[in-house]
Amino acid sequence: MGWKFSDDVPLYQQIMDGIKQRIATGDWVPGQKLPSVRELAVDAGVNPNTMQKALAELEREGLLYAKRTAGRFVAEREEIKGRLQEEMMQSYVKEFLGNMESLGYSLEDTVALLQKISDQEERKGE
Amino acid sequence: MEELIRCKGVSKKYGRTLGLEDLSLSIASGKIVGILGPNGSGKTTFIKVLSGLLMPEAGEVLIDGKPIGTESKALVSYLPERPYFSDAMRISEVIDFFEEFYRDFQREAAERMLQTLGLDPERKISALSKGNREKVQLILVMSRKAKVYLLDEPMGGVDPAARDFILKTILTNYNEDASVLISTHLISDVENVLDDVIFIKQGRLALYKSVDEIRMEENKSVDALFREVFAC
Amino acid sequence: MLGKLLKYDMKRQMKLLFAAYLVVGLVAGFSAIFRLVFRNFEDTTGVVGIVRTLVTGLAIVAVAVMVVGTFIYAVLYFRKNLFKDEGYLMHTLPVKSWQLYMSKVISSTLCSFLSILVAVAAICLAFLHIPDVADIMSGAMAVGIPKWFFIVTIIVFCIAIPANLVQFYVSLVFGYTIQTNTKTPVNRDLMSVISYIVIYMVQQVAMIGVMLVWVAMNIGKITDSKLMNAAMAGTQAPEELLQMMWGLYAISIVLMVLLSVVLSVLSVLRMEKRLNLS
Repeated sequence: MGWKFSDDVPLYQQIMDGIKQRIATGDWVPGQKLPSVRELAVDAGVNPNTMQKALAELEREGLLYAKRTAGRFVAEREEIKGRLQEEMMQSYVKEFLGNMESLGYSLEDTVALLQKISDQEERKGE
Repeated sequence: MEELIRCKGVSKKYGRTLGLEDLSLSIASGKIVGILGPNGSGKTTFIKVLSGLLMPEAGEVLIDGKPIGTESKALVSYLPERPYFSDAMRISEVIDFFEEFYRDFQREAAERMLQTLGLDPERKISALSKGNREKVQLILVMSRKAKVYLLDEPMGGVDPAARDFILKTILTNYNEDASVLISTHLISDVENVLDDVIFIKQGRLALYKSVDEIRMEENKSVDALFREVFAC
Repeated sequence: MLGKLLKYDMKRQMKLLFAAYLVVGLVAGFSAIFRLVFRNFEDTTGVVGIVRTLVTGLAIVAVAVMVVGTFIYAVLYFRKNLFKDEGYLMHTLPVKSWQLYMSKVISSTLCSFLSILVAVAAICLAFLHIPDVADIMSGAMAVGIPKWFFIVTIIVFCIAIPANLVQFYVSLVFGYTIQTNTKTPVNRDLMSVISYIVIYMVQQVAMIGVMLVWVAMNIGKITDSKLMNAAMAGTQAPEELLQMMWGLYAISIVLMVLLSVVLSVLSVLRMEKRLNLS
């Protein structure tokens, strides 16, 4: 499980994003039991307190839940995955459009470019 | 989480040069704290005072409520910058030594870690490479169930794989009743592992914040902030 | 904790000493064998005689080196273990400073005694001759030297060993805890040597002081010519003279012990307060 962190954003936020991504991509399935805080911390190479903070936040947001002695689990509800995917798609697209804009591409230019690339891929496939 | 380390008005002079000046701080248990500062800033003096190797001229230091002495030394596991085992000893003899003098030493943990690294306990310390020697020292220090771990430049001159091993060992040994103090100038390597950072500048406490606070408030890494604060 | 430190210090020093004892044993043994094989050769000037002297001489040299070496090693070990890199380990152990110090004094004294015993045994072996101690003693007693003289001499000798070790140890402690106001690093070994010289001079002055006191106390007896003549004649050691010697001995012992104790206490305190490893 690869964790990649940048150094100017608080770690706990980055951890939260990383976990949301794993849930959204289906890497972590609903109802899955999480490893212990320490194990996760060692794996990610971060301070256990930081990991704990991230997990607690995710619990608050309803993405994880804790059963007293049994540990932490991914929330059971399937719609969580959908919601996360929606959230992530939005942020990816916004970021992409923002980058394109900085290169001087308007929205129409971007759409045209996407169409062109998609056609090229189709032709390669034939 | 109780107050594990408390310093009040600690001062240490070396002749006319100031090592530490009126240092006051409090470190709770369950924290991994970075002690950061350039060479000669006083961070090594600070670590030496906590370990009992240096007596301050003024001020009070309490470790788990105890003043510096034999009781506090039993609670503190110190890893100095330099090799401190006799060259002529074998690794197994050093393990015996630690077991003899430290009640909180866990032999099996040490032996397990040595095995993971493929180090034969029957080898002499003198026969080990510099990197391996440092790893052995770290293993022995971290194999104690101490309340305070003082690591003075644990990653200087060690290869990246070894640095990973060191950080992993620190994280694996984490426990809420103990705290780890890491004095280093290789900040970007340890940043992710730290709860809080303490900047020591010219013997004084320049900053004591959590890593998260720094990133949120300053929008930069601790490493970047360090370069700013200590710009020459 | 003191016991644990003692065990460790003994082990460390004995590692080297054991090897030295082995070498000495071999050389002495060789000399013994040589003497045994050629025991019927009366001729001491021929080849056999010369070689025998050489071989035995070698054994004596080995013994001397071993004894002196034990002492030198004790001092160097103190320095290495407490004031070099190993000091980072030793001074952070949950032990008191005085325990670190006493462990060195006791273990090095024991090692010195052991080396002396080995030396005596080796010399006897090398010469294939065990001196008849009882004979020597009765001979001396016949001249009037009392039994207590031997006992006291041995006691003085036994005290002198740790006393001398203490002098070296204390010099090292003071040398290595010197605090200078300059930024330039000071040579601590040099400081230790200077400390030793100072301590030695102080000790000599104290000794001279004691001697003067003793002379003053016994001024009557010293100027008594009858007593002195009897003593010079060497036929019989008069009772009063022996009393005076006994007094001198006693004072010397007390002084040695006192000095050692005072110096030790000072250096332990110094280590506790002013330790500053490089």
